[in-house]
Amino acid sequence: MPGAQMNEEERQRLLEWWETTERGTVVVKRLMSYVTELRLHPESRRADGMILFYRAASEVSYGYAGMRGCIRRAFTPEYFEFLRHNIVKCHSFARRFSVDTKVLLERVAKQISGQEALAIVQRIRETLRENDTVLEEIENKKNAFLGVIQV
Amino acid sequence: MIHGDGSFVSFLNETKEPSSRFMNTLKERNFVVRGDMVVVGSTEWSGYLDAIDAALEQGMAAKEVVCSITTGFRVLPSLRNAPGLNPYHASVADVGYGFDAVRGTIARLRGGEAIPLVKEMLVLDLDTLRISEKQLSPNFEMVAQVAGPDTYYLIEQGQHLHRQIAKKINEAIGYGKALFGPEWNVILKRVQKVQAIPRL
Repeated sequence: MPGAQMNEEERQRLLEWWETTERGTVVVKRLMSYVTELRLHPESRRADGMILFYRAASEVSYGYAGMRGCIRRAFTPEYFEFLRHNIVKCHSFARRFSVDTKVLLERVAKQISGQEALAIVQRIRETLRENDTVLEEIENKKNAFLGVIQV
Repeated sequence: MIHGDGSFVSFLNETKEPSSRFMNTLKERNFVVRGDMVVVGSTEWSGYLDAIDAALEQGMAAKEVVCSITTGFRVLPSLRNAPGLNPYHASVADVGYGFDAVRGTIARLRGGEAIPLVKEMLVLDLDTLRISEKQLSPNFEMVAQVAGPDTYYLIEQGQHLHRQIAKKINEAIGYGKALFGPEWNVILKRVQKVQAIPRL
C-alpha cells in the first residue's frame, strides 16, 4: 500500500504513531547526553564495559531514528510492505539494544565508586525506564496503525 | 519510488528558523569570534547553543531517513551481507548518537541543569560527528558497488542525505568553534583520550 493512497483514518493513525516517536526523541536525546557525560567523567571514563555500553546506547538512538525515517517515507508513495518490515526491525533494534544498554550499564556501574558518576548512572537508569514506557506506547500506536491499514 | 530531490525528507520536518538567521543575529551582536570571552549561561552562550541546536535540528530528518535506509539494506537479501554495510551501520549509529547527544545536552542546559562537563561534552560530541561523517561515504560506496537497479534509488538518496548531514554537522561545528574560540582546541585535547576509544 503506497502511502500516498492512505485514507483519512490511516493517515491519522500514522500521525499519532509519529507523535509518539516525537516524545521518544526527547527521552533519547537526554539519554545520549547522559551517556556522553558518563563516558567523560573522571570517575567513570576508565570503567570496563564502557565501549559496549556506548555502542548499545547508540543503537537505541539509531532504532528511534530509523523508525522516524520509515514513517517519513511512509507518507511518500514508497512501497509500503518494504517500509513496514523495515520499521518493525528498527523498533526491535531500539527495544533489544535498550535491554543491552541496561545490562551493560550495570556492568559499568560495578566499576564506579565516585558519587558524581553514580548519580549520572542513576539518571541513566531512570531515563531508560522512561524509554521503556515510550517504546511500549510506540508499539501500541504501531499496532493501531497496522490494524487499520488495508494491505 | 522516491524522487531524487529528497523532497520527502523535509516532510514533517518542523524547522523553526533557518540557521543562517541565527548566525546573522550573532554577527549583528558581535558575538562571533569572541569565543574565549563567552560566559557559560550568558545570553551569548545561549545564542550559540540555539544556533548549534538549530543546525542539527535541520539535519535530523536526513539522519532519520539514513537510519531507515540502512535498516532497509539489512532486509534485502542482495545487500544484507554486502562488505562495508556493518561499518557503515556503525557510523550511521555514531552520527545518530552525536546529533541526539549534542541536542540532549543543550536541552538539559535549557532546562536549567548545571552540567560541570558541558564544554567537554559538546566538543567531544561535535568533533566526533565530524569524524563519523567522514566514515559514512567510503563504506557506503562499498555497499553501492553491489546494489542492483532495484535499489539504486536508495543509494542515490543516501548520497544526497550524506551531503545534507555533512553540511549541518559542519555548520554546528562552526558555531561551536565560534562559541569556544581558541579554547576549542584546548578542550579537544582534554577529551581526545576518550575520543580515541574504539567505537567498533
